[in-house]
Order: sequence, then C-alpha cells, then structure tokens
Amino acid sequence: MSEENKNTKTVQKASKAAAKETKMVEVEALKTPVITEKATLAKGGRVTMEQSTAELKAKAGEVTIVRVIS
Amino acid sequence: MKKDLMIGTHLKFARAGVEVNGVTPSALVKPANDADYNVELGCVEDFDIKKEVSYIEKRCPVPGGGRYRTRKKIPVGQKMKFAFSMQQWSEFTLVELLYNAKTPNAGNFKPNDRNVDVEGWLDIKKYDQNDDLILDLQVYISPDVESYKFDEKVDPYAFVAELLHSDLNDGDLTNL
Repeated sequence: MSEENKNTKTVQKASKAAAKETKMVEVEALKTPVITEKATLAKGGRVTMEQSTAELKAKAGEVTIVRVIS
Repeated sequence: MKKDLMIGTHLKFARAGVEVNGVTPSALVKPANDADYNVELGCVEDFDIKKEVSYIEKRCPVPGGGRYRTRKKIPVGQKMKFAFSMQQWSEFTLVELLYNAKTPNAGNFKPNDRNVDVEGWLDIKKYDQNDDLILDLQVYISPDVESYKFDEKVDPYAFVAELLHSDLNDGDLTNL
C-alpha cells in the first residue's frame, strides 16, 4: 500500500471517530432549570447537545432524549 | 450598601422561534451565550421601569367605631414594563414594531400586516459610572414601539418591553 493510501485511510478513520464522538441529539428538560452549554431550559424546553453529554444528563434525571439528529 | 448611581443601559434581543447557533429561544429556552442575543437595539438614552399591581382591599370598621379603613391589601395581579428611550432605529424596531409588519423580504414589507406578537429574550445590562456591571437581567418580553413623530428634532423613541411569564426570568445584582 502506498504512503498516500495509508494517509487517506488514517484521515478517514479519524473523521469517522470524530463523527461518532459528536453525534447530536435533541433533549427535553424534565425539571426547571436545566443548565446546558447553549441554553438554560425550563421543564419542557428543548435543545440539541452531544449524545455523550445528553446521556449523562438523562442518567441524572435532568433531561430525556427525544430524537437523534445526526 | 448605599451608592450614588448613574446607570448606562445596553440591550440585546433574542427573538423567540428564530434559531441562532443551534438554540431556538422560547419561554422555556433561554440562550446561554451573549452571542445568541443577535438583535442589537442601539443606543439607550434613558429607561423607566413601570410596575402595575392590582389589589383586593379588605376594609373593616376601626375598632370601637364605624368608619371603614383598609385592613389588608392582597395582590391579585401584577404587570411590569421596561420603557427605554432609544436613539437609533433598526429594521426590527422601524419595520416590525413601528410599522407592525412581518420581517422584510429584500427590504420589502407590508405595513400593519403582522398578526403574531413578537416575543423573545431581552438581555439588559446596566453599568455604573465606573463601568462596573450593576444589573444583569434576562427577561422574556413582548416588545413594542410607541407612536413616533419624525421631524428635525430627532427625539428618541419609546421602546417598551412588557414582561411575560417565564420560570427562567432572571436578574443578577452586583457591585452595589
């Protein structure tokens, strides 16, 4: 395999890993207030965030994940 | 604490229903970052806070007498308005609020055609004469511009923000 092909595969792997890390979901607040990086939510308010952060907040009972965006 | 205060006010607005940086503001969603308050309102000449509280008054005769006096006032309704004197116009204040129109398309609009009230988050920052932040308010409001006469005097116009209910309405007082 040529050096160029190797580099391309490495870049592709890195891109896939980055895409996996930044999967976005929409969450709905289950209480007031819920403080997120982008917005403060009252109960019922919705915002998008990274899946990993959303899962932590869901575990803490702050939000529920309503849909996966990407 | 007591302090002599001269206050300079700065306003920014985040309109409900309009997504900015992945956040769509509403009474349930308050943008966290200053950059998301993307509607600049220009120079504020002065401001006025108007409070209206309606009460039921409980009245009864004075002890041992027949004259009625107010014994207790029970608040049953309250309103708050922020009235600002503004020096500069923008598309938002001139077209959408003064002309009551929908957002212009390439500068074109129909006067008095808007049938939905504008709502959103108003960020009010008030600084003292030493440039220290005294009040930082984020309030969910219904904005309006009162009637205005254009002439050579270039008087300020009244931008009035009526406070709407949101559990996220919030104010911070510092440096007093």
